[in-house]
Amino acid sequence: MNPYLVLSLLLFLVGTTGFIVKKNVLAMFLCVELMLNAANLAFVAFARDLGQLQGQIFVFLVMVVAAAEAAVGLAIMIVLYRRRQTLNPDDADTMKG
Amino acid sequence: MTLDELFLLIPQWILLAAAAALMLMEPFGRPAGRRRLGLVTVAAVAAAAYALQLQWGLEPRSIAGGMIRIDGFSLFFQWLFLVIAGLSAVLSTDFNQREGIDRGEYYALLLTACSGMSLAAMSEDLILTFIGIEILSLSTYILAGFKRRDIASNEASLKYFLLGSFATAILLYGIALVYGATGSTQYQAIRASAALQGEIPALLLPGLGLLLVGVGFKIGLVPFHSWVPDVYEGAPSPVTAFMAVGPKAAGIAALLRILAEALPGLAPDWTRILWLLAVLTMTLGNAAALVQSNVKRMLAYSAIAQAGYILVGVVVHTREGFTAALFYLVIYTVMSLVAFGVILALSGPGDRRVHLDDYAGLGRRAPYAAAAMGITLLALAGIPLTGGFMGKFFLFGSAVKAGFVGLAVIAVLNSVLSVFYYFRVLVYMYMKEAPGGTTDIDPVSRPVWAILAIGVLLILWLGVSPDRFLALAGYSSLGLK
Repeated sequence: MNPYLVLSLLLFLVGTTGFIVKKNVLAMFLCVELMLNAANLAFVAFARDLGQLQGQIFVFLVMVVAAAEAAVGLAIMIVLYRRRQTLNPDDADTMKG
Repeated sequence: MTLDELFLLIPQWILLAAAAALMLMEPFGRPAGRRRLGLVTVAAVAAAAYALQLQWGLEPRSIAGGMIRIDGFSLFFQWLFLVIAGLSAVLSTDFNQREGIDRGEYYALLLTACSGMSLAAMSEDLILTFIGIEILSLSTYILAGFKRRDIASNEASLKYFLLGSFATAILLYGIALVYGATGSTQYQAIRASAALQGEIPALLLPGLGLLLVGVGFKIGLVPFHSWVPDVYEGAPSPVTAFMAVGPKAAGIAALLRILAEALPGLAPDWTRILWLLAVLTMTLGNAAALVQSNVKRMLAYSAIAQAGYILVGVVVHTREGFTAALFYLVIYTVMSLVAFGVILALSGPGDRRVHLDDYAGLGRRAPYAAAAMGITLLALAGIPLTGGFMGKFFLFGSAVKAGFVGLAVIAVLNSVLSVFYYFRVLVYMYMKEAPGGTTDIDPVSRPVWAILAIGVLLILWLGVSPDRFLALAGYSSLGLK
């Protein structure tokens, strides 16, 4: 098996675990970025295995999406931080039930 | 892409051009022009609908190098999304002026969300599906947090963003695995390659699993639903109305295309997974709705349960099942928009009056609004003579015909369970006295009234003669398979 695929799977697992255990919005967001990049690595590795160019092009599209997501996400975090002075998602608990 | 193909995408171009124009109207337009923002949005939607209607009866074809499919299914969902965007814009205008969030970005984001949903439904390539869902998601993350000074809105936006982007990453990894297993992201190529190889490639099943998790998050299926109640409760009411119907329908559309067009070879596997998801979604959604005292939150859980019903049609995966699912999507859209429309009409400044107690004695205080809400709740519960009944009848009927008797029985039992919480609102509205000190209802603006009235009429009409819409849904589901 392609070693890059193993690395990609590891990255994905680290990202997933991190997202679940971390208690900081920024760290959780970084974990999501890790997962997206794991998918990128998988795309490139598969594209090389298959001898195609497609998979490598997808990576650029994903990068654009990730950048847009970062812009929106950081803005949302800043708005919340101004209100609550905290980045712990567990403090965002106004609604219950 | 030839010029001919570009013409087929004109509805989307119109939406995007109007979105750009709205963004420019915000800084450069005169303050008095504010009222026109909603009008421009509705005009753009109407223009796009006109351009779309010209495509009626065209031969189904793939364009953009086999990434976009123009067929009955695409037309159906583009129509549905245009209607959703237009109605949400009308519901928004007065609400936004009252809450001081009447800004060009709001309407621009509604339109970009609409074009994202359309892309997701038209797409015949996993990458384009992903991008469509992302355009939709990014727009709705912002819309959910549009009341910047409201802490609940901030929280809704944060929760939606965190779990949404997590789901996106899972979806993308699923796409990568499917690509690795089949060597392509185009639906037809995936289908052909899976059939050619005889046995199923090892990476395809995990890929399918991750895809289902990712899309399940977006649709709000149990156990990926944890964000739904908080986001629906915290977001501004018109945005909630939009989110309850738009992204859900887009997710179902993408799911239908992926499963029926790309992975019919794995049908035994995904039927089993989706069977379980449908049962969980219906049961937990209804059970949680039983104990809610906030009407908006109750409807959020009810929306989860309704997604479970629609999923029944996907599990059945016969032509009839798909048709029933599309038909129910139309009815669900109308019911949901009317229900949330009443909520936002009655909620008062600050979007505060959403508790069950606020609905006590409403039958006397606001008879028309109470009647609209009452009929809609009856339809959501699936009482005969309403569209909700017809939709469920065809859905569960298709399940029985295809041999999913157990699933149909569970779904019917769930409908019975749901009657309890829908009727509790009715009891509050018609059988309880308004507590002292309850302020009078704000006057409801004429456009909102018009939407509520048309919606209620449509619900009743679909309950009596569903043939036309059923035929439309049937024509649209031809695109699948």
